[in-house]
Amino acid sequence: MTSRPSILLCTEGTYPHYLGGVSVWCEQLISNIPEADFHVLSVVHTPVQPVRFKLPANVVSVTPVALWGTEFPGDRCEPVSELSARRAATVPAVIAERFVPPFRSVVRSILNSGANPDALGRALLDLHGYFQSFDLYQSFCGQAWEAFLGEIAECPRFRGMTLAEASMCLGWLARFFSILTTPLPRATVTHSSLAGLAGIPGVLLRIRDGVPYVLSEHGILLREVYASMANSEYPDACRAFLIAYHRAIAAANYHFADVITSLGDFNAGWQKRFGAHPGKIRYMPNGVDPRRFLCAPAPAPRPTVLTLARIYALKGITNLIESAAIVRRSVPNVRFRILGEIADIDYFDECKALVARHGLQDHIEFCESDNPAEEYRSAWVYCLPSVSEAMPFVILEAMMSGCPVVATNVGNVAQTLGQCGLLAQPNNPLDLAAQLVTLLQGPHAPELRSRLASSGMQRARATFTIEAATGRFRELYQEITKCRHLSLVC
Amino acid sequence: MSTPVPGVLTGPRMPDSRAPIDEFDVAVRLETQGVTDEVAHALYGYGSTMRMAVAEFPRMASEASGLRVPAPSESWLKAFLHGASYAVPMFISALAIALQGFSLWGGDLEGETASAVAVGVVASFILAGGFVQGLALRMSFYLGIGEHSSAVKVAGLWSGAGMLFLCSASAVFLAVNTLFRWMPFSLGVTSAGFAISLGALFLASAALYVLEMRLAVAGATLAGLAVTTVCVRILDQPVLPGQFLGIWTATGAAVAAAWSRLGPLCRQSTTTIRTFTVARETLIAWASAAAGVLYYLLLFSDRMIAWTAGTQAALLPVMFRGDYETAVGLAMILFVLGAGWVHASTAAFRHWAQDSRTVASAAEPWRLNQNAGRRLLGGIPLFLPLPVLGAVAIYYTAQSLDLLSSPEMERVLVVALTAYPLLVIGLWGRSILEMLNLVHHGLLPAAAAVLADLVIGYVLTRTGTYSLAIYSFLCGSAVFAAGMILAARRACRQFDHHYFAAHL
Repeated sequence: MTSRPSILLCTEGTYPHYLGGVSVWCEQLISNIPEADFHVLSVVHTPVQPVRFKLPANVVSVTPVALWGTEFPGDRCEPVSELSARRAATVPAVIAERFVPPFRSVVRSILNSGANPDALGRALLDLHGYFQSFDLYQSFCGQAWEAFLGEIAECPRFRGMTLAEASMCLGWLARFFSILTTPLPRATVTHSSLAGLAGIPGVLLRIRDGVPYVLSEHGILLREVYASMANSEYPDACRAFLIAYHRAIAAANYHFADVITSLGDFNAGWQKRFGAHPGKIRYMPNGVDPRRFLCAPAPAPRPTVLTLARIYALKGITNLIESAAIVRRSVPNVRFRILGEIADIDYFDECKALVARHGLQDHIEFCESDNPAEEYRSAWVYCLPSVSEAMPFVILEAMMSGCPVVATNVGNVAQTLGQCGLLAQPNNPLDLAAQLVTLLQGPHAPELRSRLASSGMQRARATFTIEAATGRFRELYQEITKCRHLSLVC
Repeated sequence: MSTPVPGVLTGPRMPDSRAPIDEFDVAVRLETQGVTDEVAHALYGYGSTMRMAVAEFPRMASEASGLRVPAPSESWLKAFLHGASYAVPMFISALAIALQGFSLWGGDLEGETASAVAVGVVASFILAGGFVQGLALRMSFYLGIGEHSSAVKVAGLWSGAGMLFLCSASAVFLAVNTLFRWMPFSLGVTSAGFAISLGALFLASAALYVLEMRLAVAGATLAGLAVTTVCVRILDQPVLPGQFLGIWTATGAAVAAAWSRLGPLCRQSTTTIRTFTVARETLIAWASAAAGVLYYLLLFSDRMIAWTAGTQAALLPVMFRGDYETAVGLAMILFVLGAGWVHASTAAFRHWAQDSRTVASAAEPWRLNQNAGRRLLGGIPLFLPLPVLGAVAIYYTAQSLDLLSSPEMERVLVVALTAYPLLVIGLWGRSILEMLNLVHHGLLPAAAAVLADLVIGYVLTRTGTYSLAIYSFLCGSAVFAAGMILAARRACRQFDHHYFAAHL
């Protein structure tokens, strides 16, 4: 009898502690591969983040790794006796001998934006080994500061850093290194949901034990970091350091991953630009449950545009509101239903103010729904106004439900839709409105909606079912473990 | 091919866009502005978004400027008043005694009763002091990270532990008192009662200070005082029961005020509440708690020595010295002013440190360290005019109002007026250590100061009169000042390092 295979699934800001598309993907993956045990290592913001999902029986363990909200970086809230013993062992001589050399190597790799991912991975492994016996906080309070300043001084790009900037950057590193204090379980495969901190266990196990590492990026983290840095209030040197850090970590992930799965050509393009070897990249689209999203359209009497999205800037809700003001001129009784939790209250206030400014109170409603399937059925059109996306589940759900789609041409949306939806230029309310009017009020609107609904549903059932999506991962696990003479089959 | 791209840096959600870091940064910005490969080709003539980004990056990098956010600063006067406001309950109490002969604690009491109350009051400070510091440290942390329910829970834990300790210590005191017959049982109960009651009030007030509800502290004190006044003046009850009722009213009012602020925040909280253990709390906050105990020991050692000196003819081995208390209490006004100065100077120092670090080169940390040391020492002469002028004013006011009973007490006042500024200087050093999260570096100087105070005081008062205890306070304060400033000076030599570690 073969023992059950175990997958170490590493997530960051998603399953099982946060809601969202990637979390849904994780849940699908675990639930649909019951023959494997899953250890979930979840990078979270604070140690008190509650679990938001009912865990399937094959989830053997959930290990949250809190980056913030702890008294000390790397604090695992272990018994005081263990903490005290580890601290007592972390004396200056040990720090100098066992911490500083790999630490300097990691810092050097970061400052070089991950030019040598192999060296970075091995230095991270050394630090991981060190932190199993010695204390992270004590080490950073010790000689890390001087070592960091020394490395900065040798790097022309960062030589001009101020003390405040250096302090901020090293403070981040101390928090990020919390992942290195976490003991890693034995696993058959490591699977990370992004090329960031959560991927580091995959890198470590790949080097230390030769465990195959699968990297499944949904959004491209590094690209998202770039996007967030554009409006960041951090000093320039800190922004540059954060980018360099993320580039280095992404490079290590890409370097040590055996397979990098991608949701489409758009993602693959960015992955290659950031250093992923084209030969490792495989197209593995997401899927949804066709039993849940039945194709039985029952359009509401009033022209209804549906958007399901968490309310924050990248979802482009303000653009949708601007579009709504334009659409109303052609379709006076149009109704926009925007469903989703408020992720950014300031942005939501901005949206409400915009609705009021355009006098759209009777045309736009913000609410939440427990039954999205019913919403798709009653909508005339599904609209995705995002300015950045990977492969949004909502598109797949709308297609599966037979709801025609108008979406901005972002991420892998065009590839996902194929010819089964209308595309608008991102951040262009005028274009978005034009596409919506085409489907709501155009000369052949009913026929066009019907054709898109039908073709979308067929395409979704052929390519984007949950069974197909998870089946691809099952095969992938079997394939890569066979390479190591292991089997996923019990 | 080099057509400038309007609006790339100023899209609808990017009014404050920053200088791009590299060409990838530009490419991402272009994409989120709607410049797909097709748009880049059709509108701008580039082969792709990425090619456009590569071409546009140098121009965009040179046009955009860096951002430097200056640290906000608190006005000196406001910070000074903040610091001095810790003495508001004391001030209200002193005023009440002057106006109506009693307050929440103390007043015109009979000799033995006054001694018992005094012992209880001092014990409350010393026994609760460590828990007050621990509560403040831990509650601040959880409030700082927005975990209000955990803040309430940890405050409850520290308060509970404090109360348990106060009750246990009081029980031990009563048992030992019964054994050695230091004072009649009823007076022992009075001491223990004040220690427990005032300890509870200090713990509740500490929560209000952490919540920056200084007016509420004054309000709670006044509410308690009003109850005491009603009991004594209107209901014609004895002072002590009225005082107990008043103290517990003030405590209840403080707890209610704190909850009125925290309750709604707790109800909004979505995070789970943390689990706390005594061992872990001790590990995290032991230094602050120890510093609190040592501080109050230093503050009251001379009184304890004076009260226990030359009591052979008295009924009790402890004798409240009203004349000594008056002289020391007058000098304490200087201490209140000094506490305000320490608070304001620390705020200014913190602001200077924040601001300096944003311009100080990481290649030359020694410059910042040197300046930190200079500012530490330079703060002392800046402080001196305040105690000198204050001391003169207090001395002549005491003289003109004939507040001091004898030339001996005049000497006590003069020495105390010299000692308190030294204590303040020591506090200045300690506040820098606190800022650098090096409270434990100040424990040795504080312990040495307490030891000096006790030993010198004991020798002087047992060979001379009780009023000589004030010299032990002077010595203790001098040791405290020297030790704390030296420790802080040493810390400033690696100011950059410690500042980083303190903010980890």
